[in-house]
Amino acid sequence: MGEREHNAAVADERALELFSRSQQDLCARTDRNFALLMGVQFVAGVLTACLISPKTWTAAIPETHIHVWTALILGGLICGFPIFLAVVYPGRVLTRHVIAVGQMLMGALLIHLTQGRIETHFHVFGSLAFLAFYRDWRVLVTATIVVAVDHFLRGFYWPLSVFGEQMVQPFRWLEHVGWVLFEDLFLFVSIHQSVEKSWTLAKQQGGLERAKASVQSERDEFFDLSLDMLCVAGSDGYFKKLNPVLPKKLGYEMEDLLSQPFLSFVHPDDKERTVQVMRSLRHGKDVVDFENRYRCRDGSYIWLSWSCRAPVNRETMYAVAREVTARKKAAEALETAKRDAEKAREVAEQANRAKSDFLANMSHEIRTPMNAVIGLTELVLETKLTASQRDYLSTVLESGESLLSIINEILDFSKIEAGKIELDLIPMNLREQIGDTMKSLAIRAHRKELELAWHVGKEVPETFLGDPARLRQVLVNLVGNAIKFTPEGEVVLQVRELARHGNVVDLQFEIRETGVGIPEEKLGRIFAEFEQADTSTTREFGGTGLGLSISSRLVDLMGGEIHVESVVGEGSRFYVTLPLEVTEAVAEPVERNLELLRDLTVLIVDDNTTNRRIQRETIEGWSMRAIEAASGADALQQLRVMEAEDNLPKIVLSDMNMPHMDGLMLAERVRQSYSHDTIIFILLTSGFMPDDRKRVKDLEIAAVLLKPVKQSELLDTLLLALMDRGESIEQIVQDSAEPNLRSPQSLSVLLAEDGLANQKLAVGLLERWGHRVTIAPNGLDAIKAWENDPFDLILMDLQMPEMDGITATKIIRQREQVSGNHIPIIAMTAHALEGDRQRCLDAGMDGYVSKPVRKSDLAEAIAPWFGSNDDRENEPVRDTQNQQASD
Amino acid sequence: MKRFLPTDLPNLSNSSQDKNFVYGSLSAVWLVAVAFGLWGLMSYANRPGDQGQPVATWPEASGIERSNFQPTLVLFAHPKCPCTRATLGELAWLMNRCADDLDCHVLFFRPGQQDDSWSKTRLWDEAAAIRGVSVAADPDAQLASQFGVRTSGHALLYDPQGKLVFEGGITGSRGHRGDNPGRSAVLSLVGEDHVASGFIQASGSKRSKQHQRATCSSCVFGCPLRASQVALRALPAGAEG
Repeated sequence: MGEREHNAAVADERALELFSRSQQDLCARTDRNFALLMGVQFVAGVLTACLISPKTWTAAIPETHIHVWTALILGGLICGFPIFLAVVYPGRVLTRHVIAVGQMLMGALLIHLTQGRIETHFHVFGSLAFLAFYRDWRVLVTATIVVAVDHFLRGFYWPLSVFGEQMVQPFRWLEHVGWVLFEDLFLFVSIHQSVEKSWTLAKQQGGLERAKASVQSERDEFFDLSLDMLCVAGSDGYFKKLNPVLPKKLGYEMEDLLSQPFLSFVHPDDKERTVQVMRSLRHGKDVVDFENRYRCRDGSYIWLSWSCRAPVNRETMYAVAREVTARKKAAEALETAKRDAEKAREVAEQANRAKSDFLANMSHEIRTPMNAVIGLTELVLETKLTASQRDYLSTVLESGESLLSIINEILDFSKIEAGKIELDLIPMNLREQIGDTMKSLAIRAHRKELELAWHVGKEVPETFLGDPARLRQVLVNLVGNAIKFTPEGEVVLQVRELARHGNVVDLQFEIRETGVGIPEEKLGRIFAEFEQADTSTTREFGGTGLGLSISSRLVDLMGGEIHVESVVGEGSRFYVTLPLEVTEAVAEPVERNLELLRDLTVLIVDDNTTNRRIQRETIEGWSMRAIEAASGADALQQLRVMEAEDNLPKIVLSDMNMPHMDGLMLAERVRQSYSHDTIIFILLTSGFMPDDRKRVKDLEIAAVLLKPVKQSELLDTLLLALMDRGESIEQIVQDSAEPNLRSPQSLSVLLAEDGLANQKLAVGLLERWGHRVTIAPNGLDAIKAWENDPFDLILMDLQMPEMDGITATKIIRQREQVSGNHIPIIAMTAHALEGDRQRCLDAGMDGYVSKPVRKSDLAEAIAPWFGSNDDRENEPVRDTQNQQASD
Repeated sequence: MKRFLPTDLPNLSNSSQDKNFVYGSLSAVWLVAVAFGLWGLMSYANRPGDQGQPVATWPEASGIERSNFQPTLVLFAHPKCPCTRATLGELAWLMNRCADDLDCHVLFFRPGQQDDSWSKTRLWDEAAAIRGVSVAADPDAQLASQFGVRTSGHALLYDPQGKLVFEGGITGSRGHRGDNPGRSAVLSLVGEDHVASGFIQASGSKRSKQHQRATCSSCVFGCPLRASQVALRALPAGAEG
């Protein structure tokens, strides 16, 4: 037998079993129903007898009618035995056949008790229909036989009782039986259909049972195989079914877990949450990622993550769990680490604040004496001294300034570290800004006889939104470093546009030098704090090693990048890339008539190729033609050729310092052949040469410009020369002489300062400028002095004994509210940290000068209130701190 | 076909088989007992009452008016006899057919100490409702005695000359309505059908052949109208009230 045949046989067997059981149940049920019915019939028989023939009479004497006894006894006998069998022997063939016989005999009895009423015969038909409930046609046969025999015998012995006639045909009983068989026929059909349907249902149920068993078997397989914990729990709080994983994890026997409420295994702290979850499950909500702890046999707890569901209207919950103890522990460890890190950060911040405070104090403590050292040295240098004395004092001054520069760097670094630097974004003219910056470095470069050049690409816009002070600081640091580490050659700053994103331009500042270079292994560290390429570098070149680090941080702050490329012995290239927003020019540019320059020829004479290239690009940018000459001799040769071609250049732009033939010598040779009207000669020099001034004038040199030359400066010079405005050379040439700081009027100045050295310095400066000075050693004395004598100006130190400058200023301003006067108060402080300036202004001060007080700074601070011979326009309140820090 | 036959569960145990035998045997006994019971019941239903000695000539002393032009039917009835309902039904059937050709008196037994209300039962009303029937009480069954009748349901048919032509019951068995010899005899004697003979034997009457030749008769099924002296003495005091 094949598997398919075997399965079919098994299915048929099961279907037969189900069918038989179903039929058996049906027969037993019908037995019970008949038992009930026969009980009712018995009672009905008795009642009928009592109703129709309760008594029989003998004249006036009554007695119980025999029908009543018959209903009780014979009716009881007919109904009692089938009822007995239905109760004690239900569902049996014998029982239902006895019931069939009894039912039909009960009909006969009822007919008799109703005195042969023809209507009672319907009992026979009703009984047959009822017997069909057995779905057993044999029962109908039995019943029909009883009816047939009954009718036969009655027809024979007492036809009146069934046929209503005394004289009947011999086969009249067959007619009655025929009608019964007529009903039987339909009942047989009905039974057949019903049984067929039951058989079909049995087969279907068998199939469903097999399918269910198969599904259940598969489910049980997965249930047992699952690596997760699978649970079925009842609403009574007990597990109903578990796979082996949970007992294994917890170390209990399966029975232990099934016999106790699962809440008893839950950690006490998690019980309430678990109960809440069960409540929400009962409301039909799925629960996902619920976590609680379960107790193991050894008393320890493990974390379980649950996904649960409780179908509505079912008393069952389904849940899947995974152990997440490791994750929870990791999370706890992470949390602890975070807290530790937070604490560490707080400690570090506190330390950082302490460091900043320390630096501020140090700054104050160092600046105060430095103030005196530098200031007084400057004063002494202005007196008559011997050459050696001047030399020594100059060294003192330089050393002091160097020391101050170091302090400023450290202070800057501290500010950056503390995150206290904020960018002050204002519109700036990039070319002017770079030009000014480079100019300030020119002297240092020229002192080392280095070529210092810069060039901003044509594509680069004019004005950007940026922090000019910080840009200047970065460039001064980088270019200053380049100058420092370049013994000979050139230092070039090249600015170009790398990319443009809408309104923002990525500008690349390339600082190229021909210095000692940086070894490759050091390249990665040079932007780190306190790092220089070599410790010997510090010894050789000095410096804190903070410059590049500060620059790097500032570039970061501005959203840019900085990197370096270098070849030892050939030099280095620093690249700074900054995203800067293009903006409208701050002021209308000076109206310049570029048409004057169009198509003019300029002979550029410079032994430095870079310089020639930069100047050529600049010149050609103004629609002029440029011809280059690498030396004086070459220039003269070019001039001869050009003259022969009748194409002499209108302008010769010559460098001063060239080998063999310098700029002046070339000018001399040129002037031998061409006058100023023919050729305009402009000299570019690395330093002012007082001794050559007369010679310059004699040679009709139109202008002497200090390198590196700003484009605007060169343009203005060219235009002036072409228009022959007759500007004096001194006005064009950058004048390095100090401005006249003498005030046009003598002022009465109250100096509130406790430090003796600073008192001397300030008094020295102010008296030199023709002012009268009254000294107050603290705030209280300052207030008294101000009240007693009229002053034009108060210079107020911030840190003083008894009363500090801020308090004193507040008191003065308070008292002034009565008089309505206002005396200018300028703060002098070594407090160089961010916030000092605002603190001073908030207290009512009008200006701010940081210590050590430089005479130019002081003069600038005073000038807005009283003016000076210096025509520079200054802001009423000017913070010199940034300027100083970058220098 | 097997599956269409609900059988006992397969693999019956020995005890079940024993039970089957026991219950089967009991069933047979039960069936016999019931058959006997039914047989006895049938016998009772067909057992007639006391036929009495009906008088062959109308007793003028009875005081009951007799028609000289058509037959007169006198029916004696017990007002509380269950079997007499069938008799009245048959009387109604008869009167429905020959009320114009027949005078009919129904005399209901009444104990002497009782008034007419004792007799005026539902049967009295039913009888009074039949067309052509006059109803009267028969105190202490005196009239029944005069007519020689002892059983409820006994009918006597006299011709216009006062001669008894039929006596007996007009139902076929106790309390059962339906075609029967008595009813047919009355109907035929009254005029519709003159074939009256042949029923007498069929009804099982025990009359003498002589009597049979002169008068038609049939069995009477009903309660006795007169109690024996023994029975009367056994009657508890007030039972007749």
